[in-house]
Amino acid sequence: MIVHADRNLQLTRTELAQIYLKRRRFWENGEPIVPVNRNSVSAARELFVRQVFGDDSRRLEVYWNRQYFEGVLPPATLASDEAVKRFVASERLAIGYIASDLVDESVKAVLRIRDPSPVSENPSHR
Amino acid sequence: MLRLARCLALVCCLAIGSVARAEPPASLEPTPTPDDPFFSIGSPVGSIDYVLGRGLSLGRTGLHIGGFSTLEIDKLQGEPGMLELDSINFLVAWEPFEFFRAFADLELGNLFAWNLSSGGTDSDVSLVVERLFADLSLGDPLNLRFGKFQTPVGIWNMIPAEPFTWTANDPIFLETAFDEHQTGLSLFGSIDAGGGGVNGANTLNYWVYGQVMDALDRSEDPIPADRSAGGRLRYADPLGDWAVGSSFLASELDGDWNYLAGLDAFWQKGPVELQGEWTIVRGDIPDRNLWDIYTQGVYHLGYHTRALRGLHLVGRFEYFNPSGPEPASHIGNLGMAWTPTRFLIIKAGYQFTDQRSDFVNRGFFSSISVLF
Repeated sequence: MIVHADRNLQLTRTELAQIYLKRRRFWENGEPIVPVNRNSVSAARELFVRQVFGDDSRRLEVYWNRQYFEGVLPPATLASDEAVKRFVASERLAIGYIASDLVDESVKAVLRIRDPSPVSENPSHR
Repeated sequence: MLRLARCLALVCCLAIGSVARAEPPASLEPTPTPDDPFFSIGSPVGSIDYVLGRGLSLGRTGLHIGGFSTLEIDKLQGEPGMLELDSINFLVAWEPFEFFRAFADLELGNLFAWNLSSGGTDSDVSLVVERLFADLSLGDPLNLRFGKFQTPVGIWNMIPAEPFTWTANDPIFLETAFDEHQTGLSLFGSIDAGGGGVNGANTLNYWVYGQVMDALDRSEDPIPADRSAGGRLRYADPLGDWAVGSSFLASELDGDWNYLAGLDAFWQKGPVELQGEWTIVRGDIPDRNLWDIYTQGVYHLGYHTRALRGLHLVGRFEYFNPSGPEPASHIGNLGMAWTPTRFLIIKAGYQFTDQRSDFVNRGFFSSISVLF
């Protein structure tokens, strides 16, 4: 997980989930949070969702359908890890996720999400 | 015409605001869509993207247009079968800045009804402003809402529209206990409340609100209260896996007052989702006093078997006790809800009851909802 290089913070996985569910919309200093996703078919998005929200993606669909009634939409998407890094490096309110080997001094890594079993996904819960 | 004028005024405001919005660097702008677009069109205000079930995003304007519609097929005891395209709702959201959001839910109602017994049809199209409000956010703990919004009572009334519920019919008490909407002001927000487990601190959500002006686009049946004031507290797991809440609402109509108190609870784990509400209303406004409790359970069959993904079993029991000559009713609902995709919801169920009245009947309810 990466944020702008000027931002000093630590995040727990729960806080991260709250941000990407838009249950938490502001940084502690009162500035709005701008979360960005990878596109839905990317491996990074799949890993992020599985590790942060668990295996039951149906619940996320139900959640966002209900938010849609209020006109609240999921975080915007970007097409590549490079695009996410460029955006987060330039937008001090942003948070995003990229492959760890792409992290450099232009952004700050605040949480590392590992895939403990990248090939052992249980599709029955999806 | 007045309704149409209001809607046009809203659209004009949105358009003016959209043009006035500052333009960020295009090369760094994230795709302003909630997910992968079904189609995209380039435009001077950025990419116009449509996402299935999530609506149309108009580039960098911050304007988003979507909606939903539901086709209902009901057959109640002693009544003819009916097929109804009851409404098309257009959801218009405009978020030009992170601290401000305007939202409208415009309903084209009474579109088409077909009596399956006689073959007769009926249509009486009307435009209703279901919701119209602006939000000013001063942080997660403090938000100000002004306009017409859902009355923050309990769980069901917060998101009562057909595509977002598990059954094709609502709990009975929602018909009479309180007004679905308020027109006025609301303060709401969320704060960390401590006491959490492995997920971190729990959250306390609050709403304080009042109908401080005449109801916008008021319905004639039931007649809404002239003025009201209420509050709601909700204590929840940080990710919303469980929550308990309480609501209070005082309403005044033609000088008469009544008072509502309610408790509610929600819990979900794995394939199971449970929720319940208890509501009591007492006072002098006619036909509003009641005592009601319902509990609803949902089981996701697809949790264990991919072939059944999106298929849910649903059961609900309600005890409805209106004051006056109407008898108390025990009402059961059994059914299923199937969401083959996130933008299509198919529901069917049967309602049992030991009483029949203006509010309660036995019969078959079904619906097909589309988010667009």
